[in-house]
Amino acid sequence: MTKRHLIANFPFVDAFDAVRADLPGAPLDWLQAARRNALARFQDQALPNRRVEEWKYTDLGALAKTDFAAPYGPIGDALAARIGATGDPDAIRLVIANGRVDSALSNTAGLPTGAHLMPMSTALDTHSDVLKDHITRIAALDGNGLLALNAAFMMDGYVLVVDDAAVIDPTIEVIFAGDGGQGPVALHPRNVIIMGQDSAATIIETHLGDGVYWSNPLTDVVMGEGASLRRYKVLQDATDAFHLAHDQVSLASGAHYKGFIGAFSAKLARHTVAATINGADATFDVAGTYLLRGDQHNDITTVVDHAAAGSASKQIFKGVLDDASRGVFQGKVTVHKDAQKTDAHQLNNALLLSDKAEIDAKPELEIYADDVKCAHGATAGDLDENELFYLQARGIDAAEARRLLVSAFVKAALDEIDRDAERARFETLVDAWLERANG
Amino acid sequence: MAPMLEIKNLHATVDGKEVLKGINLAINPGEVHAVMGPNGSGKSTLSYVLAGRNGYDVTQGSIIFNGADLTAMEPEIRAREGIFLAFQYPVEIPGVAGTTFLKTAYNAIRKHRGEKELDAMQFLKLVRAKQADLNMTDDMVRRPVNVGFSGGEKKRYEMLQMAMLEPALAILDETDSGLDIDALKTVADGINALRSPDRAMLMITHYQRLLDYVVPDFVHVLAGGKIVRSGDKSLALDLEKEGYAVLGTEAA
Ligand SMILES: Nc1ncnc2c1ncn2[C@@H]1O[C@H](COP(=O)(O)OP(=O)(O)OP(=O)(O)O)[C@@H](O)[C@H]1O
Ligand SMILES: [Mg+2]
Repeated sequence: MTKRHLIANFPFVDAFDAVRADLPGAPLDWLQAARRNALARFQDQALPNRRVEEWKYTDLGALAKTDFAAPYGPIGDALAARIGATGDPDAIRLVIANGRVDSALSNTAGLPTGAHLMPMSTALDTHSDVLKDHITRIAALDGNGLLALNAAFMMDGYVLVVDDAAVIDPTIEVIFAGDGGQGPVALHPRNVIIMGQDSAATIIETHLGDGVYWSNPLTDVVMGEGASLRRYKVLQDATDAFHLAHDQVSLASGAHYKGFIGAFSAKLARHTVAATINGADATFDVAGTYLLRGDQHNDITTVVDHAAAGSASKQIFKGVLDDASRGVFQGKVTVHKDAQKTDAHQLNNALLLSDKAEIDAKPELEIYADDVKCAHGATAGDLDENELFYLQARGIDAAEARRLLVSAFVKAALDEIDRDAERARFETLVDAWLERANG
Repeated sequence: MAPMLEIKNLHATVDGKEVLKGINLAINPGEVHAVMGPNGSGKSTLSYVLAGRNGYDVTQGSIIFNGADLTAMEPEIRAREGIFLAFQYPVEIPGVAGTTFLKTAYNAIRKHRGEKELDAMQFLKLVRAKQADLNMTDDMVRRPVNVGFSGGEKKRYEMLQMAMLEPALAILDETDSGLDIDALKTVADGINALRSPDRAMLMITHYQRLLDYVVPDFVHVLAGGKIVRSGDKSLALDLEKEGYAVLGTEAA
């Protein structure tokens, strides 16, 4: 039999018994049991190799060879300063640094009534009854070794609970920082978002750090009937960092999830976004842009299950790949037998700025209902010579002309963000990325 | 005085195919030259060679612009040195706002000339004044470059750019095609307004009607990659009456 996993001997895994007393929810027996079961599952499943179909284009070999330890505690001052300079300093913010909430850098004072935001460690003290179901359900997700590792080593992430009918207008800022300054560390944040019936909220997550670290966040989103969530993710991880995220979203009828992923950094990143639409007339939208250079690798894998009638999903991704970077887009949409009148739309456009850059796009539609509207498209190309020449013929130099055209290309994804402040923030990040191209 | 533009024995290929086969042309400041000629004779090719488009290679001869070898310059440098090409088919650029485009171009050229760049407010004021002359609205100027413009609107937008960028040598490739009667008049007024003793124009056209408004100093007929006949404005009138047959076998 061919091997379907990678051999990895991570020091942090060996240290399970030493570190588990420091992990959130240590006094909870059910949680200790769940952690131990998950660890056993990881030891059984290990990390997927490229023979596993969904991992064909993303190689975890370099990750498996790195000696990741458990995090060493506080982050460096320079990194703390960068966190301070991220986003709106007056925003409601929660900072998770090296797997633990950093209360000094956090500020949740202005949180409107109806919203409850806290780190996982606090939530397990105060709301363990609410979280138990969520955590055991996620622990039982039989995906791969990455999920099992997160379940075994689950660290601080954020827990957001929004009460029924509460509409939270201010953007909630969550910042994840990893610091591998004292040697490679592995972080396994767990986030839980529970949106009550007809509630609404907006979250922006920023991921950043220094040195070699591996962030393996798992986010569980449960959307009640008519709930609406905007969730924006900014990936600004260190250039040597690994980021392997898994989102698990479930939507009840009339719920609306609007996600956006902006991937600007990290050595190797994979964003798995899995959604199950369980209720009628729900909408799942996820858009994003990935801007890659050097030998960066970014993988966006979406798995959308339409299990109820009249629901819609939309995915729009724009990738820009320079140098020897590599992009992967795998989008799978399944429309179950009873999900009539489903409207599923998926698009990935890649702009290849170098001959050595590569994009692998794999759209997959599985349709078991007969009355549906499904469309997918994937394109790859370079900049349009006619457009470049037109700009140059007006006195705009070639580099600036390229910047204008790349930024125009990415704009079509950013236009999916329907909040001005957040769209402007992503625009600034795109501009900064383009500026660096000329540096 | 040396001419502003001096083209000598110009041979050029497009994607390897020889299209220009020995062009000689001298243009002095203040002059308006009209170029006419059958479809496919090489008029647009000449305009692209002058503007420096990729894939249009000079294989023989020379182009001297204000004493410098034009062929050695990148397209953007030519533009900053004062060459402006109004495209026969202006390019649509989705996602790039017209104002961003024009401001970037305008300031690049100002900077090259050692002039102060304009801030957003000053720039908008200037565009507003010029767009009014060409019957263009704020919306048209702000929209993504050329996207959703009608054929005639695209041509007017080319003229707005020309008015803003104030070139030394304007090459107008069939700017009159696709214009309705009123727009033709508007565009012609725009061109005439820019005529000056320091500025030269090379106007490619198929029709006399533009030349009724913008009266050329010289008319050339380009056929088979060469200038086969040159004359004054009366040459265009003869062609209008007789067609290119008047040139006999030269034009074949
Ligand atoms: N990319 C190309 N590859 C090969 N041949 C080309 C290419 N571009 C233009 N040509 C040829 O060069 C010749 C000249 O074309 P050009 O566009 O310069 O003609 P024109 O005089 O401007 O014609 P019109 O009056 O129709 O605008 C034509 O025969 C055309 O087919
Ligand atoms: Mg032409």
